[in-house]
Amino acid sequence: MHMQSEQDKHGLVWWLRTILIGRNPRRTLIRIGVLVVAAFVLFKFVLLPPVRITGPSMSPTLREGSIHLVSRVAYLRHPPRRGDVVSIRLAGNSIMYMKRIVGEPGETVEFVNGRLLVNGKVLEEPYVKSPSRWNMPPETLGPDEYFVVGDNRAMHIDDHYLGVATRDRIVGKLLL
Amino acid sequence: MKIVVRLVLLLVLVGLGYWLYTFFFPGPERVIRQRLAKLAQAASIRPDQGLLSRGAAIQELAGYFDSEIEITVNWRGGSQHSLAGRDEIIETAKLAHARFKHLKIEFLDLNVTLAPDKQSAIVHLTAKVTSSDQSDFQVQELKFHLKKANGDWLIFRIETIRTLSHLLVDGALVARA
Repeated sequence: MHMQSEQDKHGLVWWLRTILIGRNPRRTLIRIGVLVVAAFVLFKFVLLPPVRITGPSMSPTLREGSIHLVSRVAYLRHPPRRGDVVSIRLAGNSIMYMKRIVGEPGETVEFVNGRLLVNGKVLEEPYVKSPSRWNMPPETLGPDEYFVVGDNRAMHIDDHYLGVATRDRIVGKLLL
Repeated sequence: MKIVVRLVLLLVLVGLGYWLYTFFFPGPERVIRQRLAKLAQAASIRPDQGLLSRGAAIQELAGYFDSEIEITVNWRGGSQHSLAGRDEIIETAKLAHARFKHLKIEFLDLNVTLAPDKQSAIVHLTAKVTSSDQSDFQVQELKFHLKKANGDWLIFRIETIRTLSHLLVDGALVARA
């Protein structure tokens, strides 16, 4: 009887059972429950579900097809800042734009021969790797507005979606 | 222990009853969501669709709209497209079927706002369009205006919403509204 039990203990079924539900099923169940609750809290309140980049407008900073994490809580203590790469929602969070904030509320933003001017001064943009000839007339932002643009300035300005995002559309900051 | 089991069973039964009730007697919001999902399906073009099936889909598509339908779409890049009436929708659908072998339309993140009398509604959503001639998909925020007529929810106006309030017209940026 004892011999049979030992054989069972080290048989394939025993190993499968151990891998799937562990040696102590009750403890495994509690672990699974804790993991589910933790994942729910993490992706409901702290992070957005992992986002996949589609389109070249943030190239080369964000490569097409790459997967990233976005923090929902980054702006709980302070408002969005220039240089932040942020997620901008459409009707919801299923599809979002990823853009960089270049203009903060109250500032005036313009493009002159590819150079970005904020309040009339050239903004150094080390993340822009390709020169452009973009021109855009000055745009003064309202109290709750941010000017956002992608890092890929090699694109024609007609093909690049840029503009003013209101604060309520910014759902999070790119973490990784 | 028995009481706990009975309570759990009771909760499960109540949940099941509620689900069955909403399944067989859906509220207006659910009806609108289902209708827009069917609209997206009817507006999509499958590569294996035959001529008859395409014709039926176009006719079905027209049935989702009020006879006074107005559609104004400002696409990214500044181009504006307007349609008025079911006939124009049918013509546009025919053109789309002639041009695209495959066109997938999806409506995502539907936010339904019902009027207090529940006879009209506004739906704010994201339209995702994937076509055979573009590797990337297109997205556009849309606002649908619907009204209830003879028991059916009909769309009488569709307009675009600019996510980033800036508009490019013929390569030149113009001031936003």
